[in-house]
Amino acid sequence: MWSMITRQFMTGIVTLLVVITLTFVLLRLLPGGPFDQERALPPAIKANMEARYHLNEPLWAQYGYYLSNLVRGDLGPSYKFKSRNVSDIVADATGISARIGLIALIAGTAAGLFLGALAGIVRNRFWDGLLTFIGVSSISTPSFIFGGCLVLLFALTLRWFPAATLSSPKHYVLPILTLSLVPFSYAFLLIRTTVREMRHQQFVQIKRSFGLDEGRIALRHILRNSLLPLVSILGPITAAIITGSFAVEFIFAVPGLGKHFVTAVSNRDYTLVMGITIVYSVALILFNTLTDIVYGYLDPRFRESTKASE
Amino acid sequence: MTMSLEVALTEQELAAQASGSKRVGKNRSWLASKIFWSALVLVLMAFLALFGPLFAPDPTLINPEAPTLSPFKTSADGVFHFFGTDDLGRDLFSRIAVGAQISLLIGLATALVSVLIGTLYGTVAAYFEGRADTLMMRVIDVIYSLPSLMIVILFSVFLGRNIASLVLALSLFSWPDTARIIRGQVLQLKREEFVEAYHSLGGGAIRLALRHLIPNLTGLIILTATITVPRAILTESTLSFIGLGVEPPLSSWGTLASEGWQLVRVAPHLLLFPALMIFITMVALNLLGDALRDHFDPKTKNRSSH
Repeated sequence: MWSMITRQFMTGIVTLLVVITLTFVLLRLLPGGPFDQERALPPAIKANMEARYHLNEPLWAQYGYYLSNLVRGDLGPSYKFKSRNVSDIVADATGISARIGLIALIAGTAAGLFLGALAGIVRNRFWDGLLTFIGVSSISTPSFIFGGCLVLLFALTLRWFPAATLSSPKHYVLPILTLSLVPFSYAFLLIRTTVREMRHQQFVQIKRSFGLDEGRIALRHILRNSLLPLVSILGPITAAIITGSFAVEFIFAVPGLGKHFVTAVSNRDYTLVMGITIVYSVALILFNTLTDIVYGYLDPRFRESTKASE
Repeated sequence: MTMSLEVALTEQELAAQASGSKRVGKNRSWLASKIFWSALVLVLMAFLALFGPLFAPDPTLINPEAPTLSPFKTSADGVFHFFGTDDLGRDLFSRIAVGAQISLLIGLATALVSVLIGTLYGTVAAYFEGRADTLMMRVIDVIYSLPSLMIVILFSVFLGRNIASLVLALSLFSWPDTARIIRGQVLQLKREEFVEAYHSLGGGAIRLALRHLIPNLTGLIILTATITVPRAILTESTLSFIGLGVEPPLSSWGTLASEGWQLVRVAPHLLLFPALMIFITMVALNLLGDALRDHFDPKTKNRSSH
């Protein structure tokens, strides 16, 4: 178990280095700098600005500065918002994105788990058809389409919920609903497949032959064993929520990480782009590691095999 | 590890088949009709992309007399607009047909590139096994834990926001899925009797790969290609929606949806029609992938191909 966590941790470090290096190189190779504006700055001022941010030094030196600051937890100054540094902006935005993301993760997964298990168990043709339709539609709908339609229906037509920003609890409903679509569809499809397969497995057949009723078999035996695969896709769900957050924050004008990333890319705000990329990478690595630990803990086969090898 | 849901499902299915567990319900005729209908929808979409522009008004024709016309209306100059017009009076149906070319092209090209790289990578990893395999899979683990959308954005901005650069950037994150599935299958094939027989007869490695392994993988390759296309279309349309996809004058379905979103209060059909096209295509592709996954049984394939 410990050896696996260490291995996971090492992969995380390597991944983080790859992310930092890749974004750094890509950003510096991009045509145009952060101080290229429509009206050209006087050369002296531009030179001074570049000197202040070390932009006049060779690439490897800039990389060195960046890494050494990073180790101290300093993401550097924002090139665009001169009064704030990247760490502050990223901290604010992370709070917002994480709040919406976590609620959506829990709500979506729970709903998907419930309906997916139901879809795996029902034998009635009508219900099976309906639930399958819901599942396939949910995986086939991009977040921006779902969010756009929700706004059109609930904000512009029915006027039940506000359409944008996050100024009151009511404002959170539509963004969270939109973002929970992805965890819902992932959990739904995976649980449905697992429950279906489980139904035919030997131990379930045996329980059935003992005369246990179907409802009890479903709850106590099938569902419990189906949770394992769900844990294993926690990483992909997190990744998908990150992807979804771009569309959701764009639609609902939420000042989260995704929104800042898009503006920072067009502003060529190198340090801000790097900062957000690093935060998202750390979140992904964290969830992947967590997945593996929980998985290792839950799966008895896994526990046995690692114990034997230690 | 982060992989796509599709890979998780496929690996689960393959493992179940390998362990000889019962085939999951679903009779053949239901499967066949699923494949038929989704394939039909996709063929229609392809027709729309290829021949739609021939029968519709010029998509670049600006008509200031007929801005944001509702669907099924005829403009003052006598042109019938099936899906209505946008804010500049351009015919929405024509724009959607041209958008179909771009969206479908990006999806298919990404699948092609990913399948080529992924199959090669997966086969090589499984063929050598041991240390080389472990190292190659570690590379995939690292790619899986990269924040893909952000790196795709940076790559496409860096390479210029055109079709080729988007395909390249999208492939960067979709080939590992193929590689993973193919590797698992090749590892299993290597333990089959016919491969052992081939080795004992003194057959060479390249010939083995070309003559026996690759043909045995055809079904799985088609399956992985099918699950790559909707993912690529999804990512591309999301990028275009937030304004970081293909650059004008090119406009994919995502671009059209984005333009529609700006005008959603005035003319919701500008958002709804592109959204509907994306949705229908995605449903068809996902159903097809699902059906192929159900239908596809590597065991029976092995028996029949030699």
